[in-house]
Amino acid sequence: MHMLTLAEISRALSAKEFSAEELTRVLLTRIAQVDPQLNSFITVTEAQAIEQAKAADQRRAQGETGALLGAPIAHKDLFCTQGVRTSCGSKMLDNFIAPYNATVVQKLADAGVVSLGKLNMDEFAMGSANESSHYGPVRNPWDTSRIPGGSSGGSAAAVAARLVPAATGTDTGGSIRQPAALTNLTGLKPTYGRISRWGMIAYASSLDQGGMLARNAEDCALLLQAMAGFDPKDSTSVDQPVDDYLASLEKPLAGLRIGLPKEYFGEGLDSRIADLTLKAVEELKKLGATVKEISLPNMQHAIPAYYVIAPAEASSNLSRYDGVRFGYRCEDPADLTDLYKRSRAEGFGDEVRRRIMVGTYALSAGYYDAYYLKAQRIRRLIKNDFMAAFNEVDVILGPTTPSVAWKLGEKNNDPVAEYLMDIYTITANLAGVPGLSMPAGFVDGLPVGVQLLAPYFQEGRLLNIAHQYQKATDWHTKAPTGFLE
Amino acid sequence: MQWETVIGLEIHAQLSTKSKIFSGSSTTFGAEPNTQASLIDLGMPGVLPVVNQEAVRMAVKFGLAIDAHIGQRNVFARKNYFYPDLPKGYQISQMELPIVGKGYLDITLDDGTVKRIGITRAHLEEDAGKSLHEDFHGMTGIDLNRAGTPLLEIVSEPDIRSAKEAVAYVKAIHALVRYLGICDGNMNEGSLRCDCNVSVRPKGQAEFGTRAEIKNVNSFRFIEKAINYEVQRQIELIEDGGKVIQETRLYDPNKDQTRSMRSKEEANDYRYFPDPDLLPVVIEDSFLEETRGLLPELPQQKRERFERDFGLSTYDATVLSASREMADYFEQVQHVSGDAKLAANWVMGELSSLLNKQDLDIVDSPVSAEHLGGMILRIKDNTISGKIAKMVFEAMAAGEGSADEIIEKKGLKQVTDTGAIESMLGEVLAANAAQVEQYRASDEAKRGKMFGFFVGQAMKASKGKANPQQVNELLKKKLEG
Amino acid sequence: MASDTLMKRVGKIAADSNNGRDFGQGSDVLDCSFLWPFMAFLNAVLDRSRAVTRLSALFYGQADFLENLMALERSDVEKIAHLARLGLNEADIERTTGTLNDILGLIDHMQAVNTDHVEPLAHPLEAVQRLRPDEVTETNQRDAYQTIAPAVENGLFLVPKVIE
Repeated sequence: MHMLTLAEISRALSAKEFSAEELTRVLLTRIAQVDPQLNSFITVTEAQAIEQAKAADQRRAQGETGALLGAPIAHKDLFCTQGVRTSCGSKMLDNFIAPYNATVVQKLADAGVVSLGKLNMDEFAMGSANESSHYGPVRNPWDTSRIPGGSSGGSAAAVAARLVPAATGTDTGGSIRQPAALTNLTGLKPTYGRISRWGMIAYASSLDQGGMLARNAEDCALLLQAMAGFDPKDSTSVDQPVDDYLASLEKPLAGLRIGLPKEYFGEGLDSRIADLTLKAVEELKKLGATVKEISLPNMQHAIPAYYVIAPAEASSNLSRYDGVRFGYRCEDPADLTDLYKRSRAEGFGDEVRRRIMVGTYALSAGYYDAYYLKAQRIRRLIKNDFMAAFNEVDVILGPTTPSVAWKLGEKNNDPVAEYLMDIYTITANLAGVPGLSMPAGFVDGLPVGVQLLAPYFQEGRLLNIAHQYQKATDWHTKAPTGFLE
Repeated sequence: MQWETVIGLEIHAQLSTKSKIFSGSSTTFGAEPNTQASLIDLGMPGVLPVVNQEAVRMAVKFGLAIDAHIGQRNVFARKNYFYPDLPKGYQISQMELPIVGKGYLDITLDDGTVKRIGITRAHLEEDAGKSLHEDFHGMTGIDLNRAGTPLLEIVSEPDIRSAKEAVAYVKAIHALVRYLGICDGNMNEGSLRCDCNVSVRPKGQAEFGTRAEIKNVNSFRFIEKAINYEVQRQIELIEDGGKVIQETRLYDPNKDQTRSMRSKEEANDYRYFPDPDLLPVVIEDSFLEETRGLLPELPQQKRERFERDFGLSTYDATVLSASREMADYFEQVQHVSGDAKLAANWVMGELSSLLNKQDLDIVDSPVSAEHLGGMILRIKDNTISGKIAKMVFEAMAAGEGSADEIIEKKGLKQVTDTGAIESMLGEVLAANAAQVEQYRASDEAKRGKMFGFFVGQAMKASKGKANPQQVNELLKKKLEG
Repeated sequence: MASDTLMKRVGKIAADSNNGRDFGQGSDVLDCSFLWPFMAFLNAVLDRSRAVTRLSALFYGQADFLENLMALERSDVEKIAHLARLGLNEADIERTTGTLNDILGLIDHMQAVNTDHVEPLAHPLEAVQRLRPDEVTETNQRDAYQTIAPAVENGLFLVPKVIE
């Protein structure tokens, strides 16, 4: 049962091949057995999951037929789940029982999903390896001595190991797409504003976007259909009608114009990853697409711009963690300043403290223009690059990451080294365009993903392309050995 | 050395919206602690702000009323600092692009002259919560009910040159925001708060001196006293060879002094940047015009109209237009009675006394404008004298009905029949023959007082109902012999 | 050219785990011009000893390059930590100063980009703020919200006494 995709589960539940409760129990047992090797869950909500499953079965018995009714998923531990610990992978929120549901959580609950628990992540979504979590690192099911990517590392590992068929994630600089690529999954970051950020604990407000990781595009479409939509509680939510993502999966790709940015393929990119990327291009050409070289000239400046904007916004967003109204409070604070300084120093890990410092500095008097404003100007250049490119092509394709999964501990204490791994994904967050990563092969047994980027609100197109590609290839069907039973 | 005082004021007006500026919590004053603090107000993880349209409307009303440039594309920015009554660790305010730009307000000084005070800008921001320092065994208690209430921060140019001018300006702002219906101006409850920036410079010097900021002065009286104290302090400091430090001070009304705020550190770096959870607020021309249409006649216009159409003095016109309620009351009295001057006198005189004594606002006046107007009509048509009117007024205040009803019931109609008065006077003189002789024997100077005696007797005899004017005339004639 | 040699060296050091295979052995040299500035910093990051860094920089003719690093002093770091209310101890400050300088060096590369006449982009989609009607929609949830508070009394959140 655990090998079924979300879509297969949906059809099986519909055909009453098994109940949501049965499925849930099977998965809960698997999680208990398998997850100690991966550490992908922070909180398993066993009792609630069974309640939810029973309720879904009940709804189905009464005639309801939604595609996600009774479907098991898990949430990245960054989405507020009422009555359940929501930790953001941090000691600061280890004792935080969310008093409300995030819109994403509520929408999926209304659709009848069963949430099995909360997934591990880099602390406050800051990281690309899921090594910074207070709850310990997550391991990649493809090689447990390696990282699964981050910050949605728990989501990736859990889905890749077939502990859940799909999971929610968030993506600020690549945190859905990169772990998807490193664990052979399909991951989607929609257009900025497509999915509500209410209850999605903020890291960098103008870059954060919710999304999902699953085993294929169809599963992603199922979830996106329920998650997307305007939310009046989120000022940055866009009031744009939600497409029928499932219907558009089947559109043929004839006439699709793909752009390959020359900057992506500098002579030195690991040739094997480059090869797989170009192979994927060939497959798409067979399906009717044409390819041309394009240019994203300001791409290289994306990393410094991101590492100003994201920490700057984060430094402000994380000021509310002060030990006063919720969260971690240090023991016996001597005075107010001590309360703040020790609660925050003890509650936050190294990477979070680092980024808060960088962000504070970038916004401080005398540096605002040279850092923050400068970065925002570069941001516009990057957006302009995309707008220009999308005049010539329909989608942009490239590798998702410059490398395969690296070993645990390898890039510790080398934040800059880790930052560089975001080189392909980061531009999409700065410009707000939707991006998807899909499996495209293996290098030395480790998964490699290719990334597709599209103009605003064309996540439907991305899912369509990935779905057609996945009908013609089978990379996405491979599962890590050792996690098949 | 001649010194000149330079003052700039920052006034925070709490806007009287029903809900908070970024959340749907109630803004009612006086609720139990933290019962009006939603997830957003508490700065919980994952929450997001959404802007209250009425707050924007009220700010635009203010901007139009001070003839200011309206920031049709204005941006909310975060002001970052740590304090327990600031749950997010930042206040959402406006920095580079405020909703209201440069404007002005004309104020009337004590001597009647009008001075134009420039207003640099006004912007929207959220209020912080409250800290309670009473004993919680060495701890401070934080109440976040107030956190998120919309504020309009109004910044004046440093055009004010004395404490009295400062008070006149604050009073004018107070009146204006109440006129516009955007703030109740209740300084006791903190609806209107004033920070005073005070500096001195030698007369004739172009540069400003270093200024000190006196925070949160909450009554007109204290504003005047605080500024006066601070000016004196600065002058003495400089004359003693010292330098004024740019700092924040508090006014202590008990000691009538300002003192430095110990806990405030050197210039806080607020790291302002546009709030990424909010988008730029765009005010379309249609919204602007719609709002303009919602503006009431403003205090200045009303004052001018009262002077022009009713012939009132500037002083009277100013007093009567000080608040919308007062102006409306007066106009109603004038309308019913047809006599602006009498209406003005009665409203500013007897009515104001009554209200003060009973500690009532004009909206709660026990004497309605209709009744007062009706009474004045009876004075004008000689049904009652001014003196009797006072009795009628008191009776109306006691709820005994309209002027006509009271006059009827108590038989207060004035006696105007010449014959009746003559005969009454005849009796009075007859009863006081000795005094009459004395009167006729005295010279002009002494006669004045004696005349009053006869008037008094006449009034007594007629139980006050004889028309005073006629009494005067006829009595004179009779006494002349 | 000296930088090619440096890049090969850096590429080797920076080689991620392609099963122990370093980039140098591949058919292509890691010479992507777009990655150069970042890779150079990897050099500084990976080699903790400033002296060695300076030596190799000299050797490779990169002396002035490293001198241009945005240098934060210890006192700067203390100020920033205070602004952010992060209590750093001695060891933290040491470590953080070095790492922050590395990150700032990365960021400094922005200065090379010409952004004259380019407007800052605060929000990717450049939409405008929606205004909500002035209605009270929240009810009193104090009890529910205060169950997770560290210190509460009589409905108030407690903090160490604040002196005004």
